[in-house]
Parts: sequence; C-alpha cells; structure tokens
Amino acid sequence: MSAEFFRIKNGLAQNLILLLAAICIQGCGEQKHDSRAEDGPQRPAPSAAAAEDAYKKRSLEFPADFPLPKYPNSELEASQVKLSDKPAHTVILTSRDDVPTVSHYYFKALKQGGWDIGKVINNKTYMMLTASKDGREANVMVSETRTGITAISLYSNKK
Amino acid sequence: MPRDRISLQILFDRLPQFSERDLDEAAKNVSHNPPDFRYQLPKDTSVAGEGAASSNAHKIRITFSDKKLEERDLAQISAHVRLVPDTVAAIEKHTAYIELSVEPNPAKPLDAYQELTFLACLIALRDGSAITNINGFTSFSAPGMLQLLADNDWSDAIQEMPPLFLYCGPVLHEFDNNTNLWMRSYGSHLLGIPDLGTIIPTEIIQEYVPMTLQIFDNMMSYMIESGNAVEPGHTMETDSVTIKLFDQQAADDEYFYQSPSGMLRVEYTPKPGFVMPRFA
Repeated sequence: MSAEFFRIKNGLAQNLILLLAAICIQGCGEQKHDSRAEDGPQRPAPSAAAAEDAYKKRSLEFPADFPLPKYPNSELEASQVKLSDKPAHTVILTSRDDVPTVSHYYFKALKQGGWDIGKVINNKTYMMLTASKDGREANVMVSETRTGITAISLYSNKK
Repeated sequence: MPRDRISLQILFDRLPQFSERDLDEAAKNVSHNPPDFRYQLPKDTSVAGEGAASSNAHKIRITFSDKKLEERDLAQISAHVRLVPDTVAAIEKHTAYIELSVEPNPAKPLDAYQELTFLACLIALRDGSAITNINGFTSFSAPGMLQLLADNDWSDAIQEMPPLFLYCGPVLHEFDNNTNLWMRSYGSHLLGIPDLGTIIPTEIIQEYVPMTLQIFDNMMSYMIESGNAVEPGHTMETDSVTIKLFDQQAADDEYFYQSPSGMLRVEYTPKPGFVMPRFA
C-alpha cells in the first residue's frame, strides 16, 4: 500500500464521517454477544499501549489560540491534534447541561462571533454544525452519552 | 428477497402514490445533472407491485411492498442506529417499503449504488421515513438524509458520499466478558472489496472510532478507485500512524468475523507525539 492514498477528506465527506462516528459512539453498548465471548477480540498489546500513551499525552489546557469558545458550564478534556501538514485542533469538553442547551449556546456564540454557519444536523440527542470564518473551517458536535453527560467536540483547522 | 445484489430500501408509513413525471420533476429540482432514468412504474404505486428504472448503465428493479421488512432484515438495518431516536422510530413504525435493486455484479458497483441512492432519495421525498441498506447493516432517517443533501446538487453530494456511509456499515459489536469492541464494515463484497474490522479499546472509544472510520474510508476508497487489492501482511506508514493488515479468521458461529469477500483486521499504532482526534 502507498501512504499517498491516506487523506483526510473535507466538506460533506468529512461531515458524514463525523456523523457516523457520533452514531457509532452513541450506539455503543447496545449490541452484545455472548458467543465465544471468552475467545472474542483480544487487544493487540503494541497498538493499545501506544494508543494509551497517546491518550495520556492529551493537552489539559484549553488552547489560547483556539477560535471557538469554551462552553461556560463545562469541564475540559482537551486534545490538540495535528494531522498531516495542516494545522488542526480538536478540543473536547463535557457538560451536565443537555444537548439542546449546549447547541443553542454554540449557534448563538458562533453567529455573534461572525462565523458563517454551514451544514447543521440537529436532533434531540446530537447536533453537528459546520462553520467558516476568515479562511478557517470549524465543526461543533454535541452529543448525549450513555452516562447522561453531554460531550462537546470542537474542531478547527485552516484552509 | 435477493441479498446477492446491491439494493436499498425506503420505508414508509404507507406506500405513496407517484408517477414518472413526479420523479422527473423532482430530479430536475435537486440536480443539474441527474441520472437519465426511464421509468416503468405501475399505475398505482400505493399498492404492492413491481416497476423499473433504467439508466444508461443500469436497470433498477423497483419492488413496492405493503408489508414490514422481515425480522432478520430489521435486525440488520438497526445494527448501527440503535440509539438514534428518529431512525429507530421510523423503523418501528413503518408498514410498507420500496426496494431498489440492480442485477448482481455490475461492472461499476459504486456507480450502481450512487444511482440507487439518487433514486432512493427522490422517492423518499414522498414522505419516506427511512432509507436503509439491509446488506450494509445501515439505516438513516429519510428526513435526516434529505437534510444532509439539502443545498447541494444531489448528484455531486452523492458522489462525495464515503462508501462507508450508506453502503457498508459500520457496526460496533460488544462482547460479554470482554472490554474491547469490534468495529467492522458489512456488505463490502457487493463493492468487490473485503470487509474491514478493528478492535476498539472501550476506554478510548472516542479517540479510536473517528480515526478508524477515516482509515476504513480511505482504504475502501483506495481499493474501489484503483482496483488494487490490499492483503494480509501489507503495512502502511502515514504521518500519524502505522497501519498493518491481518487476515481475520472466523469460526462458523462467529458471524461478526465473517464476510463473503473475506475480513481484514486493521491494526494501527499511533506514532510518538500523535494524539488521536477525539469526537463525541
């Protein structure tokens, strides 16, 4: 295989991948199997160890140059990511406020901040929107988790 | 109901009445370059029956059914939307459906899927409640799907759709007594490529799932577009991760490891300093 084929898609394709991710994570835990459970998938040690290392290296500060606001009633679980040669940031927050409340905040905050709101997928239990401003693109995803906590994912890159 | 061919279903509370002209006009409203379908529809589409739509490349069979989908089919299309309320409600409440299918083994299966998707969305405008893919273990609420296409030229948007979105799952399987999840595609054999699966450690699911979907989508697109196979033993280096492929064997009772075109297990190792994107 060539590494050339690996690319992060933009626009609608990227939004659809994010929507799939939200659906998968939301639905996790509802499809159990007891068949051969003892012999079920085993975690490959090298990959998992590396992933856990990466997990521990998450930034725990809200990035000062991040263009989207932090939801006031939220706690930070920040990740700062760089993919390929394009600077891109992802910040994760959690809140005990419900999805519509958090979504309303971001609609209002982005409009007041001069962002152009693009695609919006809105539901009682998840919301995703895309926005652009001054050459930047951003995604906001808000979704209800199984534990009742609302997860907020903020993503921004430069065109 | 044949399961050896590319197909999509549109669910309804009751079968809608529509004509060839209705579909033609709708197509012109949503795309500057819609597929050039020639229809043979029954006079009354609100009852069970058969019809067809032919393009330059494919002949699409249209089956009108005034019954619910069978239990096994319902289980498959519910596999990845278990907690998405509007889709779950649409599946529970439907009493009729229209199935679109093409002959087995079309020369360009992705093109066939895209034509089916365009027609499915056109028909879903007639109060469809869900668009589903039994072979792909997938379903979306029809209003949600139409909302995704809104403001886009439908032909362009459907061409941009990742293969993984409507055609191939994905599904997350959870096992008793095992903290890891198994995420895999379904129905990739209809696109002429193997299914892909990977192990997801539960504690970092929010990092692994988006990353894995990106990797799956890239691998699928690469195989479909280039015609090249990826095989067990192949490795790939990207800026961020090292990807390795393994043959995933399956016992008779391990349907979650089975695939008509073979199952490749994808393992990847993040490189030092790389932190996986995390989406909720």
